[in-house]
Amino acid sequence: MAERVQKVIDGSEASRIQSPGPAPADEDLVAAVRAGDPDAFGQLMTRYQDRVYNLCYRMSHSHADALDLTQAAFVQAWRALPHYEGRSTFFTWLFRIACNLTLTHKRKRRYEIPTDTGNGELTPMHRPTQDAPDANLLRDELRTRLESALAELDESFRVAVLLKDVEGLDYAAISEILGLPLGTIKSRIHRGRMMLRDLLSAEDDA
Amino acid sequence: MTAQGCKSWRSDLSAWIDGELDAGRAAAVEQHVQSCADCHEIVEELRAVSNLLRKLPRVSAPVLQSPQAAQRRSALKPPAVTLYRVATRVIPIAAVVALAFLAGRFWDTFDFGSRVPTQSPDAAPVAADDAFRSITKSPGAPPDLPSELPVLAQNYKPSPEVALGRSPMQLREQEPVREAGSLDALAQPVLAVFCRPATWEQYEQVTSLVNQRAVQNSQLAPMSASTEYHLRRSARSEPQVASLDLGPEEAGELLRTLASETPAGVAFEIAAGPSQMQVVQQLASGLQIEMGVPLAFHESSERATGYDPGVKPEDAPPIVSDLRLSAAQGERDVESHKDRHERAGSAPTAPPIAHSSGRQGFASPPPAVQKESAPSRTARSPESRQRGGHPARETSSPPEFRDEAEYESGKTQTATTTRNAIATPGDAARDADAARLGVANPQARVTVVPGQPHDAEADEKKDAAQKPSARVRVEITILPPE
Repeated sequence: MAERVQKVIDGSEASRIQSPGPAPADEDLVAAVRAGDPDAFGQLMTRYQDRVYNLCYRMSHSHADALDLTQAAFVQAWRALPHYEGRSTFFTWLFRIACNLTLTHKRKRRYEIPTDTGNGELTPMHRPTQDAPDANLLRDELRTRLESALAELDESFRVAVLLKDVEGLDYAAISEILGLPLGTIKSRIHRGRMMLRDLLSAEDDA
Repeated sequence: MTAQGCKSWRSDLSAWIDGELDAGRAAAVEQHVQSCADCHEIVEELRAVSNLLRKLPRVSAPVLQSPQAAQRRSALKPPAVTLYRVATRVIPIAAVVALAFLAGRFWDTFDFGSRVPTQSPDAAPVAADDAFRSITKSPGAPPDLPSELPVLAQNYKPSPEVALGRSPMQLREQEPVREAGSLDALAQPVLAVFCRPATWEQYEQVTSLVNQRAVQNSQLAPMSASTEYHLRRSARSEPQVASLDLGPEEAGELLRTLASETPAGVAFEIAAGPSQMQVVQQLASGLQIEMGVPLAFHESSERATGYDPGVKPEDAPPIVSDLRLSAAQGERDVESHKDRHERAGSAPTAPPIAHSSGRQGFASPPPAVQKESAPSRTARSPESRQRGGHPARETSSPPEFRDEAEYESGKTQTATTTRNAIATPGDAARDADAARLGVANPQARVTVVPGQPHDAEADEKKDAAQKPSARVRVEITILPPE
């Protein structure tokens, strides 16, 4: 399975989204917002809305919920910004708000919305590469399977894996966002990956 | 490398892949991965999964509103009616209403203003309880029941009202006898079985047992919700009554089952009308046969109203003085009355109603009906045991009384004998008596109380070496007609 996955990965272009740019710094924008600059918070939104939305979507499996949650996260951040003490980065603080909102939202719901993979909702940002059609087909199949497996994970493991592998955060940031010890984060990421491996392997065997 | 050895490394594999380990640990993990094929394969798979997750397509957010606009929009938009929102608003209101309701029920239950017990805890128990103590302490008492019962008997605690000096008999006498009178109005013979669990554990056991029987027998009605409500409502104060209506056969079966399977401290009552008197008699005797239980007969102090329309209720004799109301005494009196008329050459008429002697109970405690061990043993009076005669024969030869004083003095003794005879199991004469008594006796209530009565502590002080009694106590309370 590993070779098959690696083969697909190797053929794809690197689309790793980099961390926020250095200028203007988040802290500067936050200070500007506090000073009454109406555009500063808009810059912060522009900088992070996709990442927040992406995380909310991966957690909620619904574009509508992800939109509401992202909007709510920014509204809450804007309201709470006067109380932001700068002990953590703005990005970490914002992600913590988004994670808490998403987890609270999911707890309120009595049922899980099925993963809407394969219905075209992901296509706006899915840019096919110039690989051979077979490679694209295999990549789409793998993506669908991976998202299905991701949806089967327990919430606590899924969010840790998403923050690490999808958002590219380090363990310390994840620990700060989720409010959990480093050891717990380490364990959850490892166990989440192992579960995903098992789920994908089981599908291969089937 | 063994699987056990690899286990200590595998928890660090992901952190090693992510570069989150310190240098020393990372070097150790790397060395192990290079030497262990299994761990190496896992690392490759974890890397593949991680890389695949990184390649997941990104979704971009639609155009978001500014926080100010979003806030204004959310302020204009009515909040969505969600289950969570409704629950967070309804539950507190419901909790307040429920608390108010429970407080009202609590107040009604205890009725602090008018139902404060007036008797002191040191008040003397009534004769019925003395009688039962005498029964359980009398020589030749039946052997203890199965071994698990004594343990449970030690845990038997009287209800608060009993602890305050009000005996169960007093409590029952305060209760209306509606159940007995109303039963006769039913078209088919029905016995009402009442259960008095002392603890919630017992209640659960009894409820489960009864409902299990109800499933097996469609004629047996399960405990009703209203009954359960009353049980739960007053569970804090005293054992309560659960009732169910069932046919005589089912009642007998259930009573036997309950008496044998439920722990000590659970009381059962059967309320029966005149037409069920025979059933009750047989049931009580059958219990004695099957379980070796003593039978104690207690009489209500209520007056025998309704026998003679011309007699005012306040002038009606106490039931304890009316021999027709007592199974044993009624039999004795019927016999003697019949004999008198036969000797006088006149047709027998209904036995006379005894005059009111003003006593509210027997001068001497109700006797112990001794079932010594095996079903073949029969209950006998002490005189009968000494003579070796058959107890039932004593019933068939009632004494003649020359005057009222002699009648009164002999009544108790004869009643003792005949009550023993009634309790004699399997006796043909007893069955015949019971058949007649089914007509002569209007109502009866049987109470089976497994285990030690409420004065168990006092008994233990008297005889510390003696094991707690686990006998099943059976009371038959004669009730007045409606």
